[in-house]
Amino acid sequence: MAQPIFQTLWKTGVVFLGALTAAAYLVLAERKFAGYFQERYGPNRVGPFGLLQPLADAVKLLLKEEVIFPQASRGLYLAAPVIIGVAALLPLAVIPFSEHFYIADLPVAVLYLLAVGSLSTYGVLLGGWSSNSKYALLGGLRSAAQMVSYEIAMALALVGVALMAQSLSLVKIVQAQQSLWFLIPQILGFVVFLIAAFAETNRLPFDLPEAESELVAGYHTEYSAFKFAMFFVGEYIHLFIVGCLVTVLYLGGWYGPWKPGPHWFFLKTFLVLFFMIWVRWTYPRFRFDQLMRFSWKVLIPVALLNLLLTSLWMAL
Amino acid sequence: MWIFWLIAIPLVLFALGVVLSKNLFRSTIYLGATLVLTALIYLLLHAELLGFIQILLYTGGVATLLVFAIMLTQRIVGEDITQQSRGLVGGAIASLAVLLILFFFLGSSQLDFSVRPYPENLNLALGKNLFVTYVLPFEVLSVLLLAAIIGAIVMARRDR
Amino acid sequence: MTAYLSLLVVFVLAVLLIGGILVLSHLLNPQRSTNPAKGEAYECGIIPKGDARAPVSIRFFVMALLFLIFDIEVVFLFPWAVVYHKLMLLGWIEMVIFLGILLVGYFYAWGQGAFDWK
Repeated sequence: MAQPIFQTLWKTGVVFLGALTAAAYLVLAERKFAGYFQERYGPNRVGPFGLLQPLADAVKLLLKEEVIFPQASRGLYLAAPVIIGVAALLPLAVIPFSEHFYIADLPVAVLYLLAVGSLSTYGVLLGGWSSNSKYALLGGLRSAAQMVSYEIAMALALVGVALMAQSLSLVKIVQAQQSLWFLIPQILGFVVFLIAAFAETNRLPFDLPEAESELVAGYHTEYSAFKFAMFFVGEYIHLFIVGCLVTVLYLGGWYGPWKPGPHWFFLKTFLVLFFMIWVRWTYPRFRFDQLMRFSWKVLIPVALLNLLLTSLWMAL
Repeated sequence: MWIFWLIAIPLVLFALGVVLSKNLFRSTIYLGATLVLTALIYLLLHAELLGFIQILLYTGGVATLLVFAIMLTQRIVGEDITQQSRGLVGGAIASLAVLLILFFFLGSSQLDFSVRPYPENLNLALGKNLFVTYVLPFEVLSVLLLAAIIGAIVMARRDR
Repeated sequence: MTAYLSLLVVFVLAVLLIGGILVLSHLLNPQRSTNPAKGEAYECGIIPKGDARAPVSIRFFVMALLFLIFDIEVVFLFPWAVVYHKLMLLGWIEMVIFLGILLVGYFYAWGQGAFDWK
């Protein structure tokens, strides 16, 4: 019994450190790519190619003045960033990075992911409400309504994957893709999942909760120093996880044309993330009514159709 | 066993928070925590599917719903609603009585508390039960959900 | 059960990590703010008026209610997906009936404009 716990400890340590580093460098990657898309250099002062920028940012945020908002509900105000951070880290527990490297293989991993995702909605609502500020509250409300609307489409897309893999375990789902990635038979589900993922991570075509031009910063307007950074880091860890999930669910995880292994996993994850950054700097923002209508009137019917087709195809 | 107490004690504390907190929003937050901890107890009992569904539906759905509901009613009433917790003494006595009754009957009952072996694939076994043995209740459930949808729409429309 | 023990380890480590970082940042903090303006809600320089916890539109509530109902539906689809390869046609018919009844509600909601945010 002592052996597995020790193993879990070091694996968790590695995964957490990896995810935090990934989040930090995703911020840099986003700024760099944004720079190139807009024909400028992006950060390039700190270290070669700006590679030490995340470190400098972290130190800066650690040393910033902490403002604890006097009219905020103190306990909940302090709890919100913790919930956000923890909820962002929890999904990492079930992601299989390679055939043997994962922290836990749950038989209901897909539901675990959805459940943990709903916890982060909670953190957002809490942050928005406890700040007692109009922009924060509006951002929190919008975010909750948006996450809630897109969660159904996302879950319906996941059912399609579960249907083909005949399992809810992520390891089994990847193993079922050894010969054929789910990208091909589940192309509709893939598109729905990807779009819903943009909404769940609050990224640009759907970034209404923190639309700078109307809400300042949304639910974390009144947070400063590292409490603000926690929201920010949480968002980028979330992004990293979504990249991993797309790889696991649709792109065959650790399998590749040659020797399977984690290098394939990370290559595909990077490509997915690059795509998400690309989209962010290409498309304008949705309006709130368009956003709601799109989820309920387009994504959900498409996801249901996908389910119908998949199940029919399997029965025949 | 220590894990059970690790979950149960905060569970009771949060549940008391739900009842005793004056602020409705805080009450809801505590309720969310209570529900998550209940889900953890389900996990301890090997009901993993149920546990995660509990978190998904109650914390993700019901708690969000309650938050919206609280903010909505603030408009109608025009001020912050505080919870008064009337009849605190009576409630305490009643819940104590229920606790004693449960203790008494469970202690004297002949129920079989032994743990039966779990099927190899819990999800599969559950699916079979749900979609072979208990199909009818499952289908009837969809009618219930339909009624809920229509009810929600009609209520919202009357308000407009 | 070992899988859940691992989850517990993950959870404890996550809380320690996040809490640790926040406590560290608190300790490293240079000064407390003394400027009262820093404690005011940020509204782009305008002095905040009224309570921030303003009432919300009933649409948010209806949306959450619909979400809850459809989420219950989705939750039933997961065990179905796992067991589907054993049931095949029977399972297909069962789910089509279930979803068909719910689709009536879905289209009713659509017709009543529940998905239009005006």
